[in-house]
Amino acid sequence: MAKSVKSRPASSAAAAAAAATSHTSPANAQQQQQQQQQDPQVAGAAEQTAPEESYPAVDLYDSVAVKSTMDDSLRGLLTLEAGFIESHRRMDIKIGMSAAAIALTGFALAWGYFVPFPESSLVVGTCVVLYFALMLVITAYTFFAEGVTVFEGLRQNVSATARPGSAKAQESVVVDSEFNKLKHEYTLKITLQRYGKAPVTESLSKPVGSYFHSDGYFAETAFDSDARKLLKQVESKLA
Amino acid sequence: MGLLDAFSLGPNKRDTVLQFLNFAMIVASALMIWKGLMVYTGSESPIVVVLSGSMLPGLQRGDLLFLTNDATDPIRVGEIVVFKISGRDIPIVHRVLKVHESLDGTVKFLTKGDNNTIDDRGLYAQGQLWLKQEDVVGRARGFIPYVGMLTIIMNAYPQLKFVLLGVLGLVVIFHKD
Repeated sequence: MAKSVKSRPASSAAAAAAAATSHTSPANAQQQQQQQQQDPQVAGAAEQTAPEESYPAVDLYDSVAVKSTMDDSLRGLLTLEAGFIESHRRMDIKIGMSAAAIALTGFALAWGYFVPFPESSLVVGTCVVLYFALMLVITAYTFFAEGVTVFEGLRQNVSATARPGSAKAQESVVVDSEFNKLKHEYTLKITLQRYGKAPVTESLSKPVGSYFHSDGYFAETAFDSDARKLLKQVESKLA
Repeated sequence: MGLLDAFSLGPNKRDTVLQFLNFAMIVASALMIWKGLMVYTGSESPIVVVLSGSMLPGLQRGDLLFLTNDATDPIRVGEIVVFKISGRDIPIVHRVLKVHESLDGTVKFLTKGDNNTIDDRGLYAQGQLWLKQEDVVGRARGFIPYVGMLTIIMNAYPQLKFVLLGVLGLVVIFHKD
């Protein structure tokens, strides 16, 4: 239920070493690491490799868990490596609306408790109508406004000439992800925008089997590598 | 970057808050559906379960009854009414046997269970010979057989209610959807 953002290898050398152990399950990775420690020629590479935290195994038939794992890894990549600060605006709006719906229910129950039925009908009836209208709004918001977006964020545009911290010196990112259960395909779309420039979008679609072992363990390195490449493509297009 | 940053909620804590709110909204939706039915039907208990066999063969123990309570609709002999005796919590489902209407519009009526040999005067409060409009919780408009047996079982074993709610809560909280 509670998801944690994983720490990431800081150096590219560490990433390269981690990539060498990609497509192995954690038990095999541990064996390889022990072998590397014993072999003096690769000891340096092993020392540079930060211990890669692995995600717990997921049920490959649970499409929600599979997608959530990839989305969580993406969030870590964008915040810890790419330097984006996540915008929680959409989630805060949803939390606000949900809290308002709960508060409305509490008010209706309290009113119905203190004012006997049927005198309380008008107020309680109004609360019921408002509650279901709010539920409709929340559903519409989730479907239309949130849609397939899994991450929104801002970071400083290092090449900008404007004052650091101002809106003109920032670039925004919107990341959409979709998982087609019928085709077992994961589609990632990154949209980057700088102040005064048109947004640039790049996407990639790959079978989800490229990122998961048969035993349910997530091949984080392979996924991160593809996500990084996509981000670099967008950045180079924007430059 | 967000309204809730004052509470130092990271993205994961927001997820937790949202999941808790989603669970609360499931409970709230059930309560609001019940309240909505109360307002729409005019009855403080729009759905009741038949607890005894006093209305056999028409209504059996465990049948679910749907009630409305339109005060402008006059009570007629033969209607199945659900009424409460003052001072007692459990409503009774019986048929109207006799009705007296006064010129000023007040109504008093007598009820009896189809499967009982005598009328309900023995069930009424001390000194009460007739029921009034205010005693009526609702009038039966439809029923579903046997569905109410779950309520009867949960009343007989109250721990089952908490177990069921707990299981539902765990399923909602631990499902990532």
